[in-house]
Amino acid sequence: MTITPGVFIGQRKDRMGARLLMMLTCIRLSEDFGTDYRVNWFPQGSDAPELDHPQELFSQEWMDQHFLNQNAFDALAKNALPVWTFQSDPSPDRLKAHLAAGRSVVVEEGFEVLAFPWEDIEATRPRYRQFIHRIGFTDDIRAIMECADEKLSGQGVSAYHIRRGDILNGLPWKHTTWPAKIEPEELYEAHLAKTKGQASIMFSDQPELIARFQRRFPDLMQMSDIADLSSLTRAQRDFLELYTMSRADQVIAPYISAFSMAAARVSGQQRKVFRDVLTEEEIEQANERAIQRLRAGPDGFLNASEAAHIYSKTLFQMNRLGSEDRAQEALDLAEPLLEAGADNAFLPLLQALNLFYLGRWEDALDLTNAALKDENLWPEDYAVLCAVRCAIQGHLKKRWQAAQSFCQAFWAKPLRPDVVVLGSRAFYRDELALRLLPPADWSLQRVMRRPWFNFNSHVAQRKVLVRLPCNFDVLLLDWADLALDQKARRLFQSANRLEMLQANLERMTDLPDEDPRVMSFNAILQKHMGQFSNAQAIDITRKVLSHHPDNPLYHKRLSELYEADGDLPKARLTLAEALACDPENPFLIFAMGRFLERSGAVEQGENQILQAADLDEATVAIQGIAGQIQLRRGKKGKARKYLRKAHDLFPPFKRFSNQLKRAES
Amino acid sequence: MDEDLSKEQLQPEHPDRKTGYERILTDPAPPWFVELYPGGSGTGFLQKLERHAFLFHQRDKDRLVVSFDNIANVNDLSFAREPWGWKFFRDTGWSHLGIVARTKAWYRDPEIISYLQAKADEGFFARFDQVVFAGASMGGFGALVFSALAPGSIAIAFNPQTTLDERLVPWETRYRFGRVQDWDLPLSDAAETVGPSRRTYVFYDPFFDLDRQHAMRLQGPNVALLKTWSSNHYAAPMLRKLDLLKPVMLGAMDGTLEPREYYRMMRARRNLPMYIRGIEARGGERHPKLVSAARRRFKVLRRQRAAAAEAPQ
Repeated sequence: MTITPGVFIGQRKDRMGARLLMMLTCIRLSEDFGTDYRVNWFPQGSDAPELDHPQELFSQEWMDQHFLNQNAFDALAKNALPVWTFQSDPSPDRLKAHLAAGRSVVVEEGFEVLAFPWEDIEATRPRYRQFIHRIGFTDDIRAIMECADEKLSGQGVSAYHIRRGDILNGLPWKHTTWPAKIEPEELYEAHLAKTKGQASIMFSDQPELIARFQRRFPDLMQMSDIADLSSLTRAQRDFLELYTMSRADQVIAPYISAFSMAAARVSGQQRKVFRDVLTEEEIEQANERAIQRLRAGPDGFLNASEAAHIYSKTLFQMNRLGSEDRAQEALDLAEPLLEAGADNAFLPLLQALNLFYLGRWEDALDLTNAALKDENLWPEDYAVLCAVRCAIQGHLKKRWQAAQSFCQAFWAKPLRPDVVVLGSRAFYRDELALRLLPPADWSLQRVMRRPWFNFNSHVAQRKVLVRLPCNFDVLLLDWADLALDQKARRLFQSANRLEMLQANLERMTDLPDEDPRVMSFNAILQKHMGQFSNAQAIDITRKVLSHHPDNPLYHKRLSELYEADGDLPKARLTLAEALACDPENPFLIFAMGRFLERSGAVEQGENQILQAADLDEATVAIQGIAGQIQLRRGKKGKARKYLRKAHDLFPPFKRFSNQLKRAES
Repeated sequence: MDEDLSKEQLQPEHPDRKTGYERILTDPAPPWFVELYPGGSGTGFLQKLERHAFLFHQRDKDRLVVSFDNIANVNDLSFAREPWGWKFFRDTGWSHLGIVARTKAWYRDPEIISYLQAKADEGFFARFDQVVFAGASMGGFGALVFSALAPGSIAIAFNPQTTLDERLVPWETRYRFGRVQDWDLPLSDAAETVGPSRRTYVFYDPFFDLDRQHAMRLQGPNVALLKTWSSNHYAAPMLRKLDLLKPVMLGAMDGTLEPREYYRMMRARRNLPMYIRGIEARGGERHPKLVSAARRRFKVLRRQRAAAAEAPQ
């Protein structure tokens, strides 16, 4: 019997730009791998109501051919794998075999041109230009596309994208910062002034902004100069604006904007950011003008929310490396925004950081605690606030509370730069009660450091840390199970993170290679990197253990190696040895519970997890999983206790919050 | 001798730690080695598995005692380590199979279960007319369950657990590392294994609730539950303090120890400070008058003993 090859299934929950890119990627992959593609236009949790009527854009025939209904998606997705699971492969063989076995691949990537390690991304990029025409648009849409081609193609036009819209006013978007999506008007002005006389067109979800620019730059075009879209639906307008933008010779936009990025992809060229078209000095001057505008309060902005977002952006200018200390100025700029009613949940966080930089510890702690009560906080920002609180409590010599705050932050978002930087500070200064954390080689953790982060974080890292930040993947190598963040949990699948750990280990000179802490860690790391066989790692770990029989961490590692080897009885005995070293350690009990579950002793495992949760103080995953167990057993009352604690430790984590609601119903 | 060892064998991996080879030069050999080294006077063997070791001394051809370690000395890596009760059993002249545990796994380990099962299958136990299994706490559990491999044997267990299977003893709160073992393996519940024994002696403190509950799970005409009041989890040390351990053990090993005689001997407990402290702790609040009377009597007895000791012979 011939097996029908699997297909690429594209799905995105967000808006037009990302969805279009996702579809173009699917078209590209299906062409290169000799199969077909499908689109799940209505994924669970979809968050783009304006796209609920795809017939506004696509012909019925094309949709019949490519769209999946829920049942068809469920059937295909049953044995599908996400495309990222193939992105570390050295060759296409596994992906080809996967497709040939009739299994599909889910594509949710919607921001970049997707290329595998064996492919040349620069050869792939220009091919996207032709893919847009493979999508079956309606005749009405096609007519306007041709009109845009005629008016813009080859005219040397610069297209600008100013992203505001839901970021300013939409829920929940307004409550976190979008430094890669928002650029101050001053930057656009700087480029328009620099290229005066050249044709340009501006796209924005805020007509007021375009009108304001047109007053200053009368030649600046907008979409209505190309075609009248007033009678079209929002989805149609969005797509046609995107297509029109793609006909310009260069697209200048914020760092991350799926809309402009999709336009650039469709055009087959790289989208440009202000760093590409303005000098450092021009950017700095523009940012200072934005700060100047903020000094006059929120009146110079569309609303207080826009002022808050622009403020968050200008903090990078004020806190940049080598600049003078402007914490007081930053504090003074935020004050009138808060007074004017800017209710963005991130603003008190930024203000708490200003107080932290200024050493106003008690004020910072009060504001942090108040900010944490805002239900609109995004999970990342909640974690950052917990990390700020950890650093403050650490400074105030409240080690237990600092460790509790660290646990809240770290287990939720262990990769978040702010959490790593602020957590490192408290850890380096011995301000954390490590009893609240799982068994670890802390002395090794202390000397395993990662490079400075070169992407955005709320915290100005060098203001709070002198040494390089910790590489907390050292801790996650043994305890990734406890992280809520899926990306953090996927450490063993991340070649980059494993390589960074290896590089850290090689660079580290504080401990000799023969040190048992290094030997044991290296054995596990090399095993996960495929450099050591399981048997080699077992030999080394056993040798280390023979000299350190009282170290539960080494027993746990050996147990995991035995488990990977398929020797479950030995794995169980060895993990029990870890427990014998520290019988009341909730982390070891939890690890034993998870192991027992995996090895089929489900009830025994669940009982261990419940006991771990009773002993645990600050680990969301342990509490939440204990709650789930009680919920499965139909014991809602007992489930509530654990789920309530999990919820209180990290309220933005929806899974446990939803389960708590079920337990309370 | 050190000239015979290579540099690597002599070189410890850590300045504070001796290598096994180096220890040969400095640490004393264990007493059992005198009998079992190739030039020794005894007969027997040492068999080392991954997590357990078996030390067998062939002495009396008719009588064998099998002893099981408890968790107290699991981490003892010294050369001088002996199986539980080694000296006592040597002095009795019985053959002795000492089971040495290197793990606190309550003998829930396929390697030891299959080893002892194989020993039973090959007729090792059947060669002896009288076989005794003995141990304390985890070792007591071992004695109770493995006695089933030699029907008609005698089991002697001090403060044993009958099982740590949470499905059977959900009230047991000690020994987490034991409770998480695989209790689906054979010989996991002493309540089911003591039936075929000729006699099972269990020593326990009825005031120590967890041990008492385990003891109460053991039923049958062949089971003698013998109380060691106020001993907590230390029945054997209490008997030793009373100079009763030896006669009690010898009687039990012969299968001649009877409760009436045992409790007659146990009247000596009234001289033991730990016993009167136990009474005070137990009944101080509920029966203050009785406890006060007991204390007075304890003092009288102590003075009488002191006077007797000082009196000219």
